Amino acid sequence: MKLELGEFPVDDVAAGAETSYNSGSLRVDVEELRNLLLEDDRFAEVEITVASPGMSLRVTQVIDCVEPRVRTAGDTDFPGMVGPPWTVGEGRTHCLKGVAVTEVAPPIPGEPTYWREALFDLGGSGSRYSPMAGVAHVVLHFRPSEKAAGPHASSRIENVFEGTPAAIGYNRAIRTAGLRAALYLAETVKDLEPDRVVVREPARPTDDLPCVVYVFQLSRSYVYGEAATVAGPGALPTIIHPNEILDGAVVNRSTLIAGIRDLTYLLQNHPVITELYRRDGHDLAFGGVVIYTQGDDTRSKERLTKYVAQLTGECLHADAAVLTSLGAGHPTIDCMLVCQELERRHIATSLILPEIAQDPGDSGFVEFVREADSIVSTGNQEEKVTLPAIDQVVGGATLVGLDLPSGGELTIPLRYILGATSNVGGHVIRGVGR
Amino acid sequence: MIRVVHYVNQYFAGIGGEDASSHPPGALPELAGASRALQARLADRATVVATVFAGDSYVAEHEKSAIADCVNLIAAHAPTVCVAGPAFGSGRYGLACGLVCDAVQRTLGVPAMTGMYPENPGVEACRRSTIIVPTAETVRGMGDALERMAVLALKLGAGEELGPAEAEGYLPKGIRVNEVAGEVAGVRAVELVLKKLRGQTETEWPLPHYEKISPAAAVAEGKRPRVALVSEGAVVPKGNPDKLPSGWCKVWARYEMKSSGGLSSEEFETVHGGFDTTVGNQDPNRLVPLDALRELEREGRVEVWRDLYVTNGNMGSLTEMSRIGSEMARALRQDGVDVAIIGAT
Repeated sequence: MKLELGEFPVDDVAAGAETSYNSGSLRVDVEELRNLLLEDDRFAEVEITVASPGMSLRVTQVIDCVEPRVRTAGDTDFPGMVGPPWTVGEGRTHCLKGVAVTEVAPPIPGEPTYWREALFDLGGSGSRYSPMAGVAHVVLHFRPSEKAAGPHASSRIENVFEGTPAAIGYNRAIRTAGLRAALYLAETVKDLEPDRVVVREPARPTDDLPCVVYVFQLSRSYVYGEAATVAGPGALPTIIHPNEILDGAVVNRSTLIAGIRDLTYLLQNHPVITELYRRDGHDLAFGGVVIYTQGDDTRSKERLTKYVAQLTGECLHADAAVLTSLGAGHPTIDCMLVCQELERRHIATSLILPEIAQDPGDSGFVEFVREADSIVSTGNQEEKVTLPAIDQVVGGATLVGLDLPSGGELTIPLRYILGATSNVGGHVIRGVGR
Repeated sequence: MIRVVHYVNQYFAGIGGEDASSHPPGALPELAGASRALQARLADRATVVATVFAGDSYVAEHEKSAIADCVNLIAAHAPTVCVAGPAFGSGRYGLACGLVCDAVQRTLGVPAMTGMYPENPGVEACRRSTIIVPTAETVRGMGDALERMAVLALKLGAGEELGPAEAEGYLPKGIRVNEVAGEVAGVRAVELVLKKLRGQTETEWPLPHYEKISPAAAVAEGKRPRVALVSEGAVVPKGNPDKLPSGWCKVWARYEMKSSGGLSSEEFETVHGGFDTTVGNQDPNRLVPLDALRELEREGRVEVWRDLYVTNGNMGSLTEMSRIGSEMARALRQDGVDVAIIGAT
């Protein structure tokens, strides 16, 4: 299955009379985009800010970031979320590189606020903490309408991770709006000739190269528009083609910890998949991708552990596997159990994990198995960092759950910063032992 | 010239074995065999000026005065660096090495280091303050241990700052700091798994060694035990009067369970932030099984202790939770509790 990613680099972006792309310059008709997004009556207002890397700007209350892309076949885009839920990952997709659509939204009644804050700086000394700082952003700041967050909206939260059904629905509406905006921008380059075409196609399998599989624990993401929730009778681990992940089949659904958030942008540019493709046919054979969620009880854990190992070893013939995890609690336990089961089947594993060490002397591990002897650390998410005072803020006046003025100097744990300890391996921070 | 004082126990000092482990601290008139072996690895770049020793049991029983005496004996030889052990798998020896090194650094301001098997209990006791070179479990690893210890001893003696643990060959102090890597994590993970396939397993994050705890003895046959319920599920009186946090908790509380039946959802709730609390709030007995315990009490098999001991384990740091556990244990003892049932989430 061959996917061609046609790249259009964006060197500067600004609001303009008409949405257009010309030799690296992207212009955005903000009014037209705003009207498009306000078609969903759950939004009272969408304020759009066009921001360049290096600006003294802090974006807070971030929901997701998306790279503008459009499939030239015109069949479906962001399947199941925007377009029909048909499979993707083949054919030609045009991409605006160096820009992201970023959704910002204050929490509404019924939304859990526990982990809600997510921020990053585009410029200044604080920008180094987020992988999203290096690109331009078209920031969409949503305000809910009466329909979404009026006095009738229940604030009694049954599910502490996801909130009320209305909150879940509103959250989906924001993400879908962001995807529609990304599609709207990409459509300007649908029929143009890209700067370069990156081909994503697994090399012909050979006997002499080790087969490496990517084992991907999803963070309750949308897969073809369906929420991939905890493993139960209807949610068995499965195989997915890496191109499907690159081509918008998997969309971020989580407002849990900002530092480890599986941003759609990071999935479209998935670091592990990208690296496996880069080495495919040279010193490894990229064997495919297994996706799974998590098990909340012993029975589910046993089922998914064995099933993932079966898919990885027997169906995809892995000699080795790279594992990523949602991080924290049950999901890390599942990832460790999968690691153990794979190693017992003589499949070599490496893991990508964040550290959670509050005090010096905390090991940082939630759980581990002795077989997890090859771990890449994405950094200690509890380490405090200081962001300087910033000129401009898009988002809330104060931080959710911290009650600090958003634009001031902030000394906060790394986990508040978007993608800082990216659990799909998208950033450069790591922990070292002293 | 780098002057090394070498600390060993009674056995390596040649005084005797277990029978001599109550020997008080002393300095040998001549270097011990192990000290000469260390000197051989240091060659002409440093001089081992003295062997100081103490019996392992003596140190364990007279810790404060024993360590003070050792420090004085060591100070008398004006060392540039102090090397203790290697203690291999010997627990009391490892602890003694750790105590000596810590005291030498604090009291004399002289760098100190030791070596021992990674699962030696001495490691957890002193890793944060002292450089520990990992060694084999038995004395058969002496040559290799001294070889690697000598390298670090020379660096410390020269006043050099050591780099990260993995690079320099000592056990991570348990302190992790963030830094910027050259490549994103995804790239590094693929590289590591290929290295593993080539037999060169490497990790950026070594697994910890937790202390092995021996279980307490069983309750005597025929005794009706006093049983206490302990929970990290953040089960508190409704309204959370003491404001137990939803996560990152550093405190614990005790609440009287007045009901002769189970916990009532009208009186208790859970404020844990790490799992869906719907079921726990509908029926707190599913987090703290008082209802089941009351049944055993009615059968005359246990006496239920009146207080619930509770904290919030969500995102709890190991340091805080260890302290909380110790404090709870002390209080449970004072309350005459025989058995604690701990609910974890």
